[in-house]
Amino acid sequence: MSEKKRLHSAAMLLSFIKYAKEAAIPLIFFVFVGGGNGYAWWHFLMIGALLLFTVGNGVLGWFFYTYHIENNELRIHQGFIFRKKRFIPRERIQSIDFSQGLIQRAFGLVKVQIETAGGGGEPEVVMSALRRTDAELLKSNLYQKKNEVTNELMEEVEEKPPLLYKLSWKELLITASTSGGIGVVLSFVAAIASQVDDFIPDQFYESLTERVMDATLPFLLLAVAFLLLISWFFSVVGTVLKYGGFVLKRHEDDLIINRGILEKRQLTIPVHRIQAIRIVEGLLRQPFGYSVLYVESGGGGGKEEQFSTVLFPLVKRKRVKTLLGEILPEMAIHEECSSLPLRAKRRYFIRTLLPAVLPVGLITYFVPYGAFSLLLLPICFFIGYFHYRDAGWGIKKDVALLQFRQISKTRVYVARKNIQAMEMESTFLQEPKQLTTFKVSILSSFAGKQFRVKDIEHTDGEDLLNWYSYCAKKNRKEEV
Amino acid sequence: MRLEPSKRIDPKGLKVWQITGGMVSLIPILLLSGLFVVHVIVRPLSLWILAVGCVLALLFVILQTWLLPKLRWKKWRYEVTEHEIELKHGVIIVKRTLIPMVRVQHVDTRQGPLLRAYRLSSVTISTAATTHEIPALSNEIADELRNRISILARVAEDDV
Repeated sequence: MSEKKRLHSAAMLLSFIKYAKEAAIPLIFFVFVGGGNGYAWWHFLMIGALLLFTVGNGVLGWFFYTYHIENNELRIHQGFIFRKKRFIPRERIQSIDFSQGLIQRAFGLVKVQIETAGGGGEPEVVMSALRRTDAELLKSNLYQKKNEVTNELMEEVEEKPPLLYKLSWKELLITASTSGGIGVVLSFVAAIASQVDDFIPDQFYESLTERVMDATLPFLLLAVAFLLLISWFFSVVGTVLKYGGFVLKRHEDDLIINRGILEKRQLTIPVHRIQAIRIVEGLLRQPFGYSVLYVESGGGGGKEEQFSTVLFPLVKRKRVKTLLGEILPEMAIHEECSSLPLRAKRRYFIRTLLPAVLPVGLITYFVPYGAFSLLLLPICFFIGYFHYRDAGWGIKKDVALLQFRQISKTRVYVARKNIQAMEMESTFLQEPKQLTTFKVSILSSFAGKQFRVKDIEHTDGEDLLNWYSYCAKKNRKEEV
Repeated sequence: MRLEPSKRIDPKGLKVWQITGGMVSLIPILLLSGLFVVHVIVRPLSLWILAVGCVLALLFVILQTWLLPKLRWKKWRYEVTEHEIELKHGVIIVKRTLIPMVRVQHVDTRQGPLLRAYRLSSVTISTAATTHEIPALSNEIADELRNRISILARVAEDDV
């Protein structure tokens, strides 16, 4: 495959659409605002020129974009005014992912994204349109050792790999309707508030009218509730489109994820690149016992997923262990988890209460009916309590578990060999109480990632360091 | 109980930190003199303001040139063994870091003009996810440490 190849000609169309999208707003502005007193001939000329430019750009861009493999490198030449050459050594490639938008599907093509480690959020190479066979050929050529594996993958219809997990429609809908997190909670609150509206005595409104607030308050609440409902609806649709048809399977040493309704994506994660597993129980999912599984790996994962990859969008708490045990036996999940000492509780309360006290005080003092904000304080108190209750850590053999809550309850499993560095951090307030904050750094696609549990027992922190330490055994012997 | 790292950084490092602290102290001193300029030339200010300004500036200078560098120096410990690097430092927040040799990607030594004047260097250790610094070691020790870590990191194998 050393001869230079171009993308499929649909790439021209895609580039045209991309630029047309970008030009749409100025164009609409130009047509509607500029054409106030009738259109002059130069209006049409301008629009024509713009269209011609976009089309020309697409055609030339396609013509000058070539790729080939030479010297174990993927070599890409592109551009006609500014020539750009990009050479990527085969070993540096972290992942090759396929996806299909509407247009790609219409022509039976795929979009290929190639990522190397690091390099921020954007993939290093994006080929907007390749014939499926070309894409598979490229992939198998780049993953040198895995020739046969990827070829088998092509006939996924005939051969069913032993391990395969599908997201059912019911699960998809649950995922979608609980995905909004805070937004959804807010919409609930607003909906309830608009109901409560009827129970508030009329005097309240009369005094409000006196305060010039008029009847705007219920209107405002309704408007907010409506907006939240709309946004919730959109987030549901968005999630359904994104995770519809989700299939996770294990094929030898790769995890393969297919997902998406309009835009189909295929992600391949080599097992040895997985750095950690994150299990997140969202606020709305936790009561129903559902959680999301993420994997942290060297490449892949965009901004919207915090640079990690969704391994499975919805799993019952009880099923997590069996699912991971089947699909990722390399990572031994365990339930060993010690919670924090009782004296850490106060620090958790203070941590959530203190930031709220000042704004609540100000609101109570200055804003009419601001005293309602005092209700926030017990809420903060409960948040603090839950943060305390859900924090913990555990170790079993070579896998450490860090458990903490930010908004969602999160469990992170890291194997010792994937920890880049470990740190214990005690502030001067923690020190006298013999507490410490524990921090674990791992590799991720965007710089490093850190996970921490606050206020664990100081001696437990030392135990954790000892567990991580390669010469801990030696140390212990010396002490004896 | 886990053994604490035992090695300290170079005593001259304390001096360098004090000098840096002195330079930082110039900022409040300048601000204070600005206050006095306003007092003398533009319009007289209340004595309270001047007194508070003086006390704050003095406190800042004492903290920066004497107390903080001294405590920081006293608290800094490191240890490099065959298998890992351990650091412990910090006055207000005490940090204790453990970096296995296997995870070390590269080591650098570097020195700014001030460190160079005192024949000191700092050693920077990078893993795939983090970077760590041991500040102010004598040139010889820093070079030796860098070479040693580099060799150990190459030898260390993933045996887990």
